[in-house]
Amino acid sequence: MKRYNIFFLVFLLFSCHPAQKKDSDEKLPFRTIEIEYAQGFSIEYYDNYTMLTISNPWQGAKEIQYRYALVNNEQVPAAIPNDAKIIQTPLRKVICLSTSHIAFIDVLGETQSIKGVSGTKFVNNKELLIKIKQNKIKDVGYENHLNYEIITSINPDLVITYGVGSEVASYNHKLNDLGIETMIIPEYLETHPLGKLEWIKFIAELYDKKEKADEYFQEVEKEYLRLVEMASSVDNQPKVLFGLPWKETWYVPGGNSFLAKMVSDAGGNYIWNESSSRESIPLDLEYVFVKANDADIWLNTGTVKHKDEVLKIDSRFKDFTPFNKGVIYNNNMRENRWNGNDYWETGTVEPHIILKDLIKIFHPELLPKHTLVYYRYIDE
Amino acid sequence: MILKNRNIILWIVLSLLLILLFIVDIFTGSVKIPLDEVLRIITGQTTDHPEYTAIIYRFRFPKALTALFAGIALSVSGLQMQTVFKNPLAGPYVLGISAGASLGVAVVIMGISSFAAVSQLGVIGNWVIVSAAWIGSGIILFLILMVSVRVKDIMTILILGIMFGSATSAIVNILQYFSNESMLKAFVVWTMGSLGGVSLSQLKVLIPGIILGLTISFFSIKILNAMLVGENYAKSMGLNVGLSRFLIFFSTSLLAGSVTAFCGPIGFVGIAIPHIARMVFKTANHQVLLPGTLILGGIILLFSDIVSQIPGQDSTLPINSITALIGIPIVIWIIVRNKKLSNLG
Amino acid sequence: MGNDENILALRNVAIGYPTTKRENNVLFNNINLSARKGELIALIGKNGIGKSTLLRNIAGLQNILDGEVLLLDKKIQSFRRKEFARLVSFVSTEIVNVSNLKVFDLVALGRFPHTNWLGKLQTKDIQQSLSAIEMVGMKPFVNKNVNEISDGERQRVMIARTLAQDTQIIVLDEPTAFLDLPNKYELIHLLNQLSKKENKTVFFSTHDLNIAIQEADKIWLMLDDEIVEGAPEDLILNNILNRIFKKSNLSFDRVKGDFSINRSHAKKIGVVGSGLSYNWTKKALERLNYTIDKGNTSINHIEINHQNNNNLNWKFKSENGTFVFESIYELSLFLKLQTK
Repeated sequence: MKRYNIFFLVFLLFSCHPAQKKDSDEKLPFRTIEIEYAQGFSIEYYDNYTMLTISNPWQGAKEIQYRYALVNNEQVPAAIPNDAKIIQTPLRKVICLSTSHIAFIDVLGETQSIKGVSGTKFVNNKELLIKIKQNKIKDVGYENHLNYEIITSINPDLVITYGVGSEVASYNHKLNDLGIETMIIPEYLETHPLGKLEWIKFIAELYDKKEKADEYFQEVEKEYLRLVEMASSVDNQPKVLFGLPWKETWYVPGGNSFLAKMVSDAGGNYIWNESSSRESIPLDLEYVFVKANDADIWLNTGTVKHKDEVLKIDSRFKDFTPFNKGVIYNNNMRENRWNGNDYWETGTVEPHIILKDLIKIFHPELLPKHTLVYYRYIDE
Repeated sequence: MILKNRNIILWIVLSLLLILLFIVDIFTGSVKIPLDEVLRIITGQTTDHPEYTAIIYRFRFPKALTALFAGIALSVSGLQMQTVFKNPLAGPYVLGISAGASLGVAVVIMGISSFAAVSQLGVIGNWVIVSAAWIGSGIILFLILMVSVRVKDIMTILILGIMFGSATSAIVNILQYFSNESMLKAFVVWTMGSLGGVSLSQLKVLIPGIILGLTISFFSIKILNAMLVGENYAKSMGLNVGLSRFLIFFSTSLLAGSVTAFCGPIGFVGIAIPHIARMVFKTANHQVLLPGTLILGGIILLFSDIVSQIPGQDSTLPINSITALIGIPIVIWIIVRNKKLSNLG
Repeated sequence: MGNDENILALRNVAIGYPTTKRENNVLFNNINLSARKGELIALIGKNGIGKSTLLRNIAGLQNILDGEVLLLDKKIQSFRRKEFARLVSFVSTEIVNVSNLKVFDLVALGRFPHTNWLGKLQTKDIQQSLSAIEMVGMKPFVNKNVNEISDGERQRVMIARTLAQDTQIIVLDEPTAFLDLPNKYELIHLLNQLSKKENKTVFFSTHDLNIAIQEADKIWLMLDDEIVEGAPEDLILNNILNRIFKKSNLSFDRVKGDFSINRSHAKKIGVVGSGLSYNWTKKALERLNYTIDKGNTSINHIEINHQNNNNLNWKFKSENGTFVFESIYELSLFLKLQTK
């Protein structure tokens, strides 16, 4: 590995940006698997290694790719392209900067590989919580101030990161400089809920657990599609509103966003459907008051647990129809005592459960026996 | 006298302008309401569109009021600071008020969320932010008052105010450094200032606070005039310098502190408006300058609020940027036209 | 000379300023001085001796370190601020530079202790201000901006302000500092008139000793270790005035009422002449370190001649010959060459 560390340092000296997309000049035979929903990754199987490619791993990224060549312990590395980083699988020591990745690894049954987490307070996974308490899993700090010393002492095979903007790349570089391999896994950028889950196939490759991932994915996919079918049978679609304003600006999810997709899959009508944006749109408070005044269901209201807390945000909500007559549900039913929300952790790998919750909220008659898992009803 | 007529005309024009801008501000917003509807609603007539009434009463009207009173409060407090410190660059925040408010808000948004068990706190509501801002600026004010009684030279107090401001900014930077993105963004958005986030019930606290501050200012007109010749001369004419400083600082803190608590820090208004007033009214006498600054402050901030809503259909620009973009050219123009800006009056 | 005739009295007063929280730098102690109504009192002393400090103490702007200052037989600390401001006003060398402030407005500020809470000017206030402006000769400047007039004019405006303040005592710190010679005389003369006509007691400090001697009723002379008061003439006749310049090269000529630098007079020269031209020729020669022996023609001497056309010339006669000069300047150039 040392040879490649020096090479990477030299490579870094000459390139300040990640590898550009280049035409594949590999003439080696490979096969790929079909990725149905996710758009951010691709997997190619070569004889001696597996190539993982991640595309545009942060908001606003264009034509950016990261490639990883996974090499199994028993195999000998063959002619691997220069821009791909080499990773030995299966991973034995891993640091996760996002709790969503913990959930993926948990499904694969590989939580014992997790040696460090960013923000141990917010973890929900019970096994990990025990280990955290025993100090067998360390907190490595946040985003721009990772505790590099702790990370180095853990000496992980990989640090799995995520990020909202391109500044992600900078702390990746820093870790690379220290000789630590990093990988940005941006599953949250997927707008299709199954696309998000599909990343489990990607992560499975790191652990040589392809079959487990495929099995799990197909199970959930089947259930998810069944639920979509069921929900589409109903005629009336309740109008749905998301989020809370900050002062006079309300960021609402765009019409092509993840949340919008879930609403339509659950048989609901998202108010800002016609927007083609994948990201959040900032809107004027009074504009939302008018446009969303006939919303039937109001979801994802920040950290609110009781109706009066909504008024604390802005007292004008008392005249807002969705507050008075509508029905408010928040996705913070499963939280640990530090407000670490399991919706973001386990919810990542259980889109079918979230969908069930939404269908229950939109069309309760369809799922009489289901009790809400991730969503909580906000009452007085 | 020609001067008197000129002033009368000036006052009439400015008052009309103020009323006009107030109405235009109510008219402007992301939901398009026709002007005749606006006028009908304002004058209390019935309308077929109850949702328009709702918007105007719940959003537009409070926002316009906020702009009006914030403009008044900031410009008057700026004038006071410029006179007391005999410094044309002084403004309402020179005592560190905005820095103190930022510190309070930063602790609540970024500090407490990081360290405490947030679930016990529940939602960080609007009033929590307001109170935190108030307490933060109150602490700084207390420090300044303690110092101003003991220190003779007014320049020392100015420097100390700026130093306190820098110290709190440093602490805020530390909090920012350790917070995650959403907290950071929430705090940064607060520092951009916002006039539309103030509801009528909040105005019921904001307006009395400003009126109280203005009352003290009016009673201090004579004091401010005496301070034009410097504290030493003022003392020789019978001014109680310690008490005067106390009153003026207290009034400034009520004026600027209240606005900052509810709207976040809004810059430039407090520095630029008094200079415009001096240029327009051509006097150093606070009997004229104080009301003059007051009305001009309302006018400019209403105008800024209108401008901030022009670009987007659906969203507004941060008010701080607009006040800076409007204020800077004005001050440059004043400096170029009248090179004696350094002489305060 | 009863106490009730004194409007101001200093009894065992110590003045100075604090250097640290506990320590004071004492400039003078055991000061015992007094002033009556209608007196013009000049404070004279070397730079840094404490003239400003003493004035500021009298004006209530600084605290005395010991003793008591009595105004109308009451300790000045016992007066309330406004009351005191109606009795004592102050002018310093501090420059007031405010734009858009008219002369009238600045003078009217002097009415501060007399007006109501808003500072509104009644008719009386306006009249006082206008007459104060006229008294200092600034009437044509009434509506001008204060920062558009000269330093000297501004100084007069500041004084008008104290006149508008209408106090029994006026204290001025170096009021002649920025003025040209004619203005210096005019100003002090004005103060003199004020004290006579309005019965005001005026204190001022100055370095212009000639003017002080000429106009002041009393001088408070601040020497190294004590302050002596007296009429200027008394101080001169008693040789006290000279003590200011004990350590310097200056001496006071009691005959002429003038100061001159002590010179080492090495050479003797005779001068023949009289009247004005004799006096001024003598002065020039003394500047060249000559001692004058009037009428002595046995040594090198100068003859001053009036010619027909009323011009003067100077003849220098020595053993080397006679030289004629049309001006004292040419004469002095010549004499300077001689000594080389």
